[in-house]
Amino acid sequence: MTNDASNKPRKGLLVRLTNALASFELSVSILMFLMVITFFGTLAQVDHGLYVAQKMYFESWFVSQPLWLLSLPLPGGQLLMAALAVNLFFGGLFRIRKNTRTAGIIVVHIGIVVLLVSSLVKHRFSEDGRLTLYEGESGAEFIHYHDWEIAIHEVGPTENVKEWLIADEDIEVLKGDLERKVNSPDLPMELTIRGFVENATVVRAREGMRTALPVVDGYTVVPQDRNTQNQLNVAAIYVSILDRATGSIQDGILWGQDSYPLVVEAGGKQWSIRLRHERFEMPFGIELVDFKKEDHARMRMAASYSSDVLRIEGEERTPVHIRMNEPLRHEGMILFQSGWGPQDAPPGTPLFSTFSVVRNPSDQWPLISCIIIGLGMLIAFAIRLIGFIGKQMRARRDETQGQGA
Amino acid sequence: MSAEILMSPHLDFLSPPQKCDGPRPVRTLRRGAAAFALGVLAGLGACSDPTTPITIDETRVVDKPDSRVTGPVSSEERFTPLSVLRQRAAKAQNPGSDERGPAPFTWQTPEGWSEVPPRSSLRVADFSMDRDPDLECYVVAMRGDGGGLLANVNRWRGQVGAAPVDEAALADLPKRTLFRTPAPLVEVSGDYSNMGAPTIPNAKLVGLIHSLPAFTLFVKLTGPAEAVDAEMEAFFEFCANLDIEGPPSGGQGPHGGAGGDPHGGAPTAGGPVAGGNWQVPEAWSQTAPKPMRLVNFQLEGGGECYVSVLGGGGGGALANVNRWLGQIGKPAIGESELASLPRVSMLGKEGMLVEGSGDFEGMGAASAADQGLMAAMVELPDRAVFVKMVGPAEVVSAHREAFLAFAQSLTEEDV
Repeated sequence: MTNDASNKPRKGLLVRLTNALASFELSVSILMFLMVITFFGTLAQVDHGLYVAQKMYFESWFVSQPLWLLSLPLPGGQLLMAALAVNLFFGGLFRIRKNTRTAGIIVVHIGIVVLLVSSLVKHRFSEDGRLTLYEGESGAEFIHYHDWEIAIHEVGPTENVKEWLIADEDIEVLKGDLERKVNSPDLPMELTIRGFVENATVVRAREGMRTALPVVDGYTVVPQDRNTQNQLNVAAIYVSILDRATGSIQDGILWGQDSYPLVVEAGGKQWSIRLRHERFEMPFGIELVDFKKEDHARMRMAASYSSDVLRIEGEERTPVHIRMNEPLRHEGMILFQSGWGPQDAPPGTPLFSTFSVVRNPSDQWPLISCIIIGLGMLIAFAIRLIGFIGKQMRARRDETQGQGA
Repeated sequence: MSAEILMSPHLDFLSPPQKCDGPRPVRTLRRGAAAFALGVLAGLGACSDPTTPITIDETRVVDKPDSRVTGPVSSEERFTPLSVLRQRAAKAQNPGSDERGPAPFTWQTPEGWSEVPPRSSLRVADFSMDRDPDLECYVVAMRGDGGGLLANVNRWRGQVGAAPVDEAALADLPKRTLFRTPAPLVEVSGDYSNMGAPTIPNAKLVGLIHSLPAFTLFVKLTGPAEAVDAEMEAFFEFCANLDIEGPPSGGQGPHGGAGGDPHGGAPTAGGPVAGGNWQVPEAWSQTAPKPMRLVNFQLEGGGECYVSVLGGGGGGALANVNRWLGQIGKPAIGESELASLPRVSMLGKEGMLVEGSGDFEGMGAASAADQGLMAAMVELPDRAVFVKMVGPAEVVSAHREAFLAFAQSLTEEDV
């Protein structure tokens, strides 16, 4: 007697792998884990704030979730979303039966894939920040809320200044004793950066004061508790600058809230080095013409506020009104009216207007994906409805014929 | 995930593949898709050694430099806030001008204590102690009343799990010297936790709070109970020696002691008081100032009177008068009615006077029925000065003449 199972041809590794990736079990597991990390991620916002919780749970590959005395390893949101995309790709599009009955379902899957891809594009390639202007001021760059950069430029030139930039991902990893050398063939110096602190103050180290971090020119970095509102954290980092020409080394502290940059000499020139929030250029400029704020009756609480701006492109000036839920959309940029200040200014004080600025290549993709999903559902339901009506009509006809017979 | 699963009764997605070992093109497609998926996962997960040297490959050209430095800047200038640097520059240009910020504190560090960099931006001095690493003592100076004595005492009590106290219990607190003045002593034990720091079991908190006209001073010692007990005497000695640099009186420093009382925070009545040459009525007591107020008085019988000064026109006479009228439920007036308001001689000008009564609703305060309001306003070339009295209608009425006399006693030097 032969075993039926043993008679089945053995499936190749690739087939088994694709079957596993396309399986319904994987879909359910992913959804379950997404639910679990959403739960823990939401709770974590209480202690860590939105930004850090988002990084820890939803933009990570793995999560180590404290649970009583244990640490529960969980897949992170990034891994789950990647797995979901693969699962959808194999299961929903590759393995699905392709005929007229499943046409709507396939369209729905395409819509979901577009949605996931738009999320990936947003996550990887979008930039967001703020632009703050007083009336009469103009600007063509916006400042990131969270990420830092080290900017280096020569002291002296006042126009068309070239900046060398060290990106956030190269800085923020240098915590504790980690250090990294930074070079550029165009610069006469080599930088060594170390001791990045996410939130810090810089204080004068008085004589006899016990300091945890090195003292440079009488000042030291004092780490502070991390603020759950990440944009309120002020970073600091230590830097050593080697003048390649003379071999001399200058040490300094860079702090995100300093009043002036660190100025060093290298190659016979002076250089400004500053730690600041990352900046992005916009393809056009904005000039704030008029900021309007209306308060609630007899209160200094704003009921509404809006800005009249000029969009500047070359010589062209285009008036635009920006208000809540009516952003400026142009050239892939979106400017929302997000704030004003100073908040506690006495009456008559000039106010500034703050815009949230987003550059998102996939800005409209979610809308497109929703249209595709809606279309797919419409097709799927229409096919079902037509099938159901046809079935009913056939049954009625058979019944009528049966009665006639 | 599959939307089809939710919608289709056939569950096509669950059904086994029709031909697992299908024709070659299908296998090739599978292979390609699997490689793509693995490639994506591997690519997304790639990471680099954080210490690897890097070459700057990102540059850009900007119209103007980020900072307009022309040469080296000292660390002191770099790490001092711009607002302070501007104040110093203004003072250097006009040495007679007065910087109203708190002056640096002085103290005698007790034996076994070490000053450490402030662990919070609020702390003006921070100490650790050799006796126990969990021991800490720090000084905080906050503008105004810092939220009020009762609220702060109860906040401290809450940090060790002790029940809050009321005003009566607050008055019974023992006093110890802080800033050469008796100040209420908070001494509580329990498990201490503060602002996300690890909890210290069986801990003790000892603190003194002293309100001055310009700011409120907090000095606090915390740590394991036995260690705190051992440091108590040193703590009290430290508090008694705490002072500010320079002579304690003269000028309007943090003591506000133009009248010769270096500790003008204690309520005083009658005669010239902290910060001004004005004549304070006998029935008024100066209290700790509140934000945006130059000076604050408590009236006998309830209610308060205060002076505030705003830059420019302070928002304009009509807006302020209508705001006051609105606070007691009166309709707004126009420019013509504004011109016919009664006047009071104040600061060499004829100030506008507003009087009325009704149910009072101030900013952030609970509404109160049958309240009286009296307010005077004068616009000087560069600022507007306001004197306002609010309280039960009969009390305000009783203090009317005192209010007018006080407003008339103000001089430009005071405001």
